[in-house]
Amino acid sequence: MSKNNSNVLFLLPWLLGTTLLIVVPALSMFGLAFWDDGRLSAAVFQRLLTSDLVGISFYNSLFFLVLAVPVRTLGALFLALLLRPKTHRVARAAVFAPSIIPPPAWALIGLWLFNPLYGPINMVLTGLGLPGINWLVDANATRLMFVILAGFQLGEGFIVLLIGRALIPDYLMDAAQLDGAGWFGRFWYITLPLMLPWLALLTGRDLLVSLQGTFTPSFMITYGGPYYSTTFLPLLIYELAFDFRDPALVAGVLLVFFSAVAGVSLWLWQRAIESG
Amino acid sequence: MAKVSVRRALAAVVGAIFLLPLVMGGLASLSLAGQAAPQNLGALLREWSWQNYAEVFQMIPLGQHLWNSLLVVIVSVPFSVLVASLAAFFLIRSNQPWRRWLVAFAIVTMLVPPSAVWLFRFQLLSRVGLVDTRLALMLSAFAGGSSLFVLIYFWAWRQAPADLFDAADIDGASFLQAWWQVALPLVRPATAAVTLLAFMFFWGNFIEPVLFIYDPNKYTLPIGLQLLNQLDASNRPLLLAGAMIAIVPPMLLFLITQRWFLQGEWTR
Amino acid sequence: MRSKLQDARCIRRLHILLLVSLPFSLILLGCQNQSSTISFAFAGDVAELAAYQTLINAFEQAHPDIEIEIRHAPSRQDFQQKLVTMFDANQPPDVVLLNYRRMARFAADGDLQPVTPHLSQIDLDPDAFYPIALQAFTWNDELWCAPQNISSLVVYYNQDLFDAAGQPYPQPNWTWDDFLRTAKAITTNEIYGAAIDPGLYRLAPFVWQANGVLVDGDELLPESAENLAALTWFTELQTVHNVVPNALAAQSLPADERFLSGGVAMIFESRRFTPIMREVADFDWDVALLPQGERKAGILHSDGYCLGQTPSAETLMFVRFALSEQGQQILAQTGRTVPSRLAIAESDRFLNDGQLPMSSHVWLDEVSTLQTVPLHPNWLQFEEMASTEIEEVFYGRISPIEGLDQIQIQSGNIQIND
Repeated sequence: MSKNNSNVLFLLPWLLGTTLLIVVPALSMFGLAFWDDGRLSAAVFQRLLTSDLVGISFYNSLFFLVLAVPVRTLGALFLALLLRPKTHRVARAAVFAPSIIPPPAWALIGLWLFNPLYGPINMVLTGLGLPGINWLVDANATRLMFVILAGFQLGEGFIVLLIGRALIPDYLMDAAQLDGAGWFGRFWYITLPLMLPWLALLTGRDLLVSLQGTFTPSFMITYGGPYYSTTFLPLLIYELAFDFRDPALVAGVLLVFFSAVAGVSLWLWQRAIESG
Repeated sequence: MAKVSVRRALAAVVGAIFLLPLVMGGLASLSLAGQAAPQNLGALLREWSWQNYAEVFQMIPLGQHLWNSLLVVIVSVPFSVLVASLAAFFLIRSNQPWRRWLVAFAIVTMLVPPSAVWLFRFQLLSRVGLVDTRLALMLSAFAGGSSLFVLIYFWAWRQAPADLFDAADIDGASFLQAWWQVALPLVRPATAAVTLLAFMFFWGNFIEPVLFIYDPNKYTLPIGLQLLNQLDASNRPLLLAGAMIAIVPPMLLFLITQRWFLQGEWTR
Repeated sequence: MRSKLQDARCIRRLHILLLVSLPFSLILLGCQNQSSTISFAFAGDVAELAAYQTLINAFEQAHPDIEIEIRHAPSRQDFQQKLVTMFDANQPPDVVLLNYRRMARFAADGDLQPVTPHLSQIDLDPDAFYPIALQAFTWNDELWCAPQNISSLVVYYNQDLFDAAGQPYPQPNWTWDDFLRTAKAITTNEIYGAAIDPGLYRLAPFVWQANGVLVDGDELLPESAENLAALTWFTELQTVHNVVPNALAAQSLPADERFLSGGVAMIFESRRFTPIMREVADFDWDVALLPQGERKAGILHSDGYCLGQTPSAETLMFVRFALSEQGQQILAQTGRTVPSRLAIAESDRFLNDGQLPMSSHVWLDEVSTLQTVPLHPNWLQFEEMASTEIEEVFYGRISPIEGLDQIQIQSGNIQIND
């Protein structure tokens, strides 16, 4: 079909560029994990297990992912189904709007919104006679703040699921309706199974994207505190690499983390492709 | 009928919730700077002025930062669209057996956490003398921005009827002609989405200027916001004014492009 | 529909674009230049950036053939990372402005060149500078950096709040008890007597004042009665006496900003805080010596000009200029520094420059009691760890004993005596 082999030229910028800018640096990084004073070694993994900071950081990241990923994917699913009728133009744009905000600007807005005494969120809570929440002071509240900040930026998943829903043929829905299925029946037996591959796709990607998204706010607002509670993996990697000058440990952390995320993602995608 | 209006009300509520942070941030950026922190919401909204927006430009060289950021996106966004779409078009048109490996390559490279490449990308840049240049911030555009963009185009063209391209082949159109005249017009939503995503990526890029730039004349807007944050964090209206300035350009682009990918044929 | 011709032209242009994009790494190989520019790396906010710009402008005016390239980072944290990347990538700056606590790491890693061999070229006559500043930058028998300033921790106080509460201003010999009494008298529902950023760097002078030590052999902040007394006094300001903002209030408005906005009467800061005070504070203020415990002690905050690579003649000329009376005077005028050169520090240009604070002499009075933290490559790592624990203690989440225990346990991971 391709008449002209020189067409491969058009593939090269992406292929070579990605190799140079992503594959080579990443492989070098992973290589570093096994390299110790010119010898092959697994010493890094021992240090990984004994480092408190690394342990706390994995815990924080898991805490964040367990909450943020479902909130973001299921939230996006809910919104995509709710705003499916194309008359909801304004609401669709509104839902997408927070995702447009550049991360450093979003961090500054978040810092203001969540200020425990002077921020609007606690002002509203105390105004309603409720107790304010100790954002930035209490460890869990602060991690929750990161989940909420991430939860507002679900535009990408929202679009993907809008598209996924649009691809479900109308006749399936009409047939179900004729069979007397209510809205829940249609959702449970038709929409959800057909959307599963899309949800799997999103979940896999979100494991990475949402966690990486913690970097800017954790760097600008909390710098890992209070008491290490927002030292998520991206910030840990930054600190290990540049504050402690410990690239080998960085490599170890990344290798474990990447293997876990890639493993889960690929498993999910495999499932998605099989069922789709 | 009742059901329709429930949905409409719910949509309105949801829309309002998502707009709230922006609207409140915008309002707060107009309140007077340099006062003690307000004790309640009413105090927040009492006095308005545009003064903060003028002051923020005096406090830090935000004009310069804006210009640097614009320079980066003006080069990066078109290159990302160009490189990603051509690569994806090649993948669609190619019937080589290794095509699926390239798709897998795209998926895997999309999965590499950015933090994994910080250290060695810096080594690479310094070896070719690109550290502390604006080009360092544009570099990934020449590789298509992200493998995600390639995959978006690839997926969009997969939805299109293949015989359209074959017809173009029969007409004797070259690869580039088919790409430009037939393929690209078919996937306007993809182009709109990739343009916006690329813009957002390069505009909001925080870590790369933190790592690669140290000449204050080359600071981009995200670093400007960090400077502002360090300078006087209690001056919240001023910080928010800075944040709002950073939001305007991508928001405008979003308002222009959203009718294709958010309201268009994809999401009917 | 556009014409075929237009499309063809477009496509040709795209060919060109692609050709440009392919060898993108090659384009810039020619961009490296090696003229007679000197790179000068430092961290700081916009006011500090402006201060150093003044110094650089003056130098460039005196030496039109030399250009100074600024390598800047907005914060201390960014700066650490930028320095590490610069050195790792073999692009060291010619001159780095470093705090003495950060110096040993880079010296130990072989990134810095000692200034000892160049003393005459930079006109560093040891008798003309404060001995403690020179001592702070001496590690392994070498002077690694030329001291730029001799700042230290002092009490900034809001005179309006003192007057309103009818409290006398701090006296030179005031004690911990005086400090607490004053703070209590000023504290109301809305005003705090003092605000403190809990951390090792703030705690250290009080440890010394209680006859405690930061390092004993290979033990960090050992669990001695003296250290415990200092930590307990420091903590009880918050937990028992409530004259200092608690965790919630501190997170809502950081100590320095609370002071600037007039919500607190006293704060511990160094000279670095003066430029922003001059710019922002709309109340009368002054500085005073730290209150004293068993004995007097202060903590040195000093930055020095360090050499990131074997210095060229031009580099040495720049350092010489920065250390000269003229250079020291320029920086003193910005309010940023307490000059390390005696002649300038003790002149009216520092002591009576017609701006607040009136009592700049406090910094010179404190010199004789100043101490330094130990120089060690891993010092900052220890300081970060200890500060996190001290913060837990300070906000009452753990007791002082538990805090010292935690520091003992965790410092097992950090070698400090190798």
